[in-house]
Amino acid sequence: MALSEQASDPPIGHLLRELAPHVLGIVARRFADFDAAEDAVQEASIAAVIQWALEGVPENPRAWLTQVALRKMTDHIRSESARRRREMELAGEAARAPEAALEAAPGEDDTLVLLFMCCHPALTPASAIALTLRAAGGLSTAEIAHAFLVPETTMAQRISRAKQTIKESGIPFQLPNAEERAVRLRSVLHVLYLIFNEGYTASSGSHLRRADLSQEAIRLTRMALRLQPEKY
Amino acid sequence: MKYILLMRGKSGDWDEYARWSKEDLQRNVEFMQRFNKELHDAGVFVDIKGLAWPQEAKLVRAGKNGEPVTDGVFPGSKEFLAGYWVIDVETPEQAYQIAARVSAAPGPGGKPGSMPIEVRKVLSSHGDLGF
Repeated sequence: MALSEQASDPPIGHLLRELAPHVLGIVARRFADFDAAEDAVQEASIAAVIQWALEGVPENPRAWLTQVALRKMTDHIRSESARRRREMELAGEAARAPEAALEAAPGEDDTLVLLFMCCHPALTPASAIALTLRAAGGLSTAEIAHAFLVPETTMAQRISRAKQTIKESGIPFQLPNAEERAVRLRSVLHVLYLIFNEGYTASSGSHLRRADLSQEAIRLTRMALRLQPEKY
Repeated sequence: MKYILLMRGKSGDWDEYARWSKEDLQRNVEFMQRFNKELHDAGVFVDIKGLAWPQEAKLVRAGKNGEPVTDGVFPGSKEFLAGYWVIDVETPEQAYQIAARVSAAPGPGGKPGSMPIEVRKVLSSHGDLGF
């Protein structure tokens, strides 16, 4: 689905883009496995598109999406358990102690944590852009691939390698401390700027699709600004 | 940024290629398959095309009424495009590295072929054109 197609169907598409990063924050925080959490939220979003289109949007869509994503995550851990016993135990530990992690959250929005993570300086700009659009922007891999005029499999690899880099570097799922934050915010803004530029200066591809990239960058920048603990 | 890697050959190269042993061909094809998969896995692959034999090539121009006027090509004197890759990388150096890998594809006897690969940046924004 191209970005422009999604824009023509605002109710569910827009709603999911708004909700997905929040839900991803909850799942990633709870299970301490960003990679799998991201997949779980994508699957839940696909389920939502199908079910909500048929039965209407539920009364509390965020709770619905969170619940389905958590269930997908649990399914994932179960199915992997034989093959990856050690990892299951780690996730299990995180799942057994979710309260503290969840309770640490209420004051701050996890979407900001996501943005900082996706735009981590350990990632190359192209990886950071792809991961930001997918995890913080709530766009599908196909949409991002269309926007950057590369095959979907290529974009899928790029995102999966970006997640792998995050996993290997052991970047914790938390806001950088105050000292670090100014520096890290610069890389967040740099990535958002690159996304904006991609839509703004492009001469290839359909105009609508590229303009959507700029819109997405503006949306994410507004969000980043709104979420700053101090005035920026 | 996207780059296109152009693999060219003289028409004699095709005749030579047709004389390669089965083992040599197989080694070359396997290399290319492995190489393409690496490009996929690295998240840089955009497109690849291999072109049919140059004997089938035609030069086409528009005639008086816009109708196609075709002309044979002159194999003895010209270079032909054999195929191309389009990759999406972050630096020109990365593109050169990848081009060097293709260039070293095994030729007869498994020796690196050292084919010249033309690396060209694909225009992607008005900025590239200077306006």
